[in-house]
Amino acid sequence: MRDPRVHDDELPEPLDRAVSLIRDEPPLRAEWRAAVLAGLPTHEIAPPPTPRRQWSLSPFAAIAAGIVCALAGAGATLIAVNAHVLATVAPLVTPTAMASASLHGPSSVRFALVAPTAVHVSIVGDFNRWNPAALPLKRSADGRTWEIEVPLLPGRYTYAFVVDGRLARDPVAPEAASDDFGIANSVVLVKGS
Amino acid sequence: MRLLIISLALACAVAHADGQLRGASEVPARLGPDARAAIQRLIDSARVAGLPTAPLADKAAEGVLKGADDRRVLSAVQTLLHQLIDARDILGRTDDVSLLGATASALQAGVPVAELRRLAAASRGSMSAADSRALAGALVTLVDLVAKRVPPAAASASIEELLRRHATEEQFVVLRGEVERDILGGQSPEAALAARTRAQVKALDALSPSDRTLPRRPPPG
Amino acid sequence: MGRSGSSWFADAVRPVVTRGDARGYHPVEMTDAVLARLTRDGDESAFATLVDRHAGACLRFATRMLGTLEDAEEVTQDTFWRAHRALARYDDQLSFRTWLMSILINRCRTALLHRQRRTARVVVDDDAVEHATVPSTASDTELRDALERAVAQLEAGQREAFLLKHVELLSYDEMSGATGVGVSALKMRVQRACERLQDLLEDDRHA
Repeated sequence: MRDPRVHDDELPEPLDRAVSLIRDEPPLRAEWRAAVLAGLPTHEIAPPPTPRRQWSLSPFAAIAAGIVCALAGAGATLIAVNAHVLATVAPLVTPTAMASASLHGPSSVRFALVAPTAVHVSIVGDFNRWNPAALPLKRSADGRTWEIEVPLLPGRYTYAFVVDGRLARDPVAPEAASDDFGIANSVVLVKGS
Repeated sequence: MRLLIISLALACAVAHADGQLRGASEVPARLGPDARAAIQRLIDSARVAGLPTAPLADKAAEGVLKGADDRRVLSAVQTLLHQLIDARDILGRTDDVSLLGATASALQAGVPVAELRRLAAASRGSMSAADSRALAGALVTLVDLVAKRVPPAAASASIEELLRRHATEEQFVVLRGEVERDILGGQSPEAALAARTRAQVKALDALSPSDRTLPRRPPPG
Repeated sequence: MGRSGSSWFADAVRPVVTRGDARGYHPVEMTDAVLARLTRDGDESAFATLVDRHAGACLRFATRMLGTLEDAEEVTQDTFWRAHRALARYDDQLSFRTWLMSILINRCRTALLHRQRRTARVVVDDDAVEHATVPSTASDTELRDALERAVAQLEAGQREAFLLKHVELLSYDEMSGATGVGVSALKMRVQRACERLQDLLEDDRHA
């Protein structure tokens, strides 16, 4: 496996020669050139419009995510997002950070998920090194809701639930950016007091 | 009986503490030796550069859990490192790990660098802790809105408007919740965002500066 | 002119005399910024000169991003039209080419997004081959074709970064401005692209 250090600007030799061969510009076809010039408006340039930001959500992320999903599916152990599970979940209050114990100490954050038919639910994330065994949720008295309180120092954490072996986003929490691994996480921001 | 309760309580406390394994930057054992060594080198580079290392180890652990192969995990960790480098360039020197992480996430979501610089500038008052939190909240909200299919340009224009008016982290949380409910209720994401943003802008503009911070002046005479 | 050191090559090979209609001729000393200003003031032949100066590079980039000259001509035409409309917003401090490329990059990304599942393939354009500098040896032709095939196989983000860095010869700062991607992330993409291309060329040699 190659060492992922950042290279300088030079190209390694076989590549350098090959790239020098592809730097020539294609010719401009006369008809194409004429069409471009003919398509220009003949009136004066419009005054600058109000600033309009234009950028597309990176299609490369979407393409890459698609490829990742395909690759991940091949060697999967614990992956597929279970749409069925998500369907059983009702919106709840966003994970709440209770009054913090001290100025810089951890706050107790409650995570909850409605999953009445689940047998085992745990939470994985940055705060437990994505270990599905570390923080199991407990079923509440009504039998439909699973919950846990996790002491967290102030900060930003990405996380997900593991429901009977399958990963699921927290439906009430913000989504993290589309993932390198094909499965989006949820985000919680815990504030200090 | 009391002893049992106390020891159970202690066990729970320990379990919770154990649950929050931060600080240690261990690379998951399940990766092959080449990948582990490469990731460790990336972590070392981050440390030398003064960047947080835990997010990189977290990313590796996440990849292992999600069943990605070694190459994919290494690639993701490397990508994150570069995003953190770029995030710090955008934000200026900062130790705020949440803010770095939120910015890296925004880069991952495809928000252009120039856009993020604008947002960072819009939130810069004294760059107090509150400003940092507001910006982190704003970025988390931005990424979420984009995930909900709000057109990215509209989402970021909205966020910028609110940042310029010193919207707080809580206000971004509220905005996100309201927009989500509206979308679930059948509104288009863009329309929902526009309406809720207008309402918040109005509320923020209604607060005159003296309402916000200055103490009352004693009456003359 | 605001171009960094690594772009001298592109400057050196740009043709002095513009192709096509002689009415579009402006001396090469006339900078892009001046031509832009002239266009804003109503001189259409100034824009024709800008087209002549930059269309080749745009087509070169777009052909490899999208796979065919036909698609490249379409997005490049669109790019020039947009640039013309947006000239009032062009900041003289920026390199015109970089500014133009940023529009082109967006157009290419949109085109790729709308392409559905079609894989980019490089069609060797006979005309282009005929007019291009004739490679000195047969192995050059093979090498060139092998690289074209390899570039077409790169993931779009890596392809984009690689072409901007090593074919269009932009600096990383210029690339960041044109793509919206951070410098560090771009360096990583270029590096990965080079590694992948080397692997693909290796495989090709043994095939």
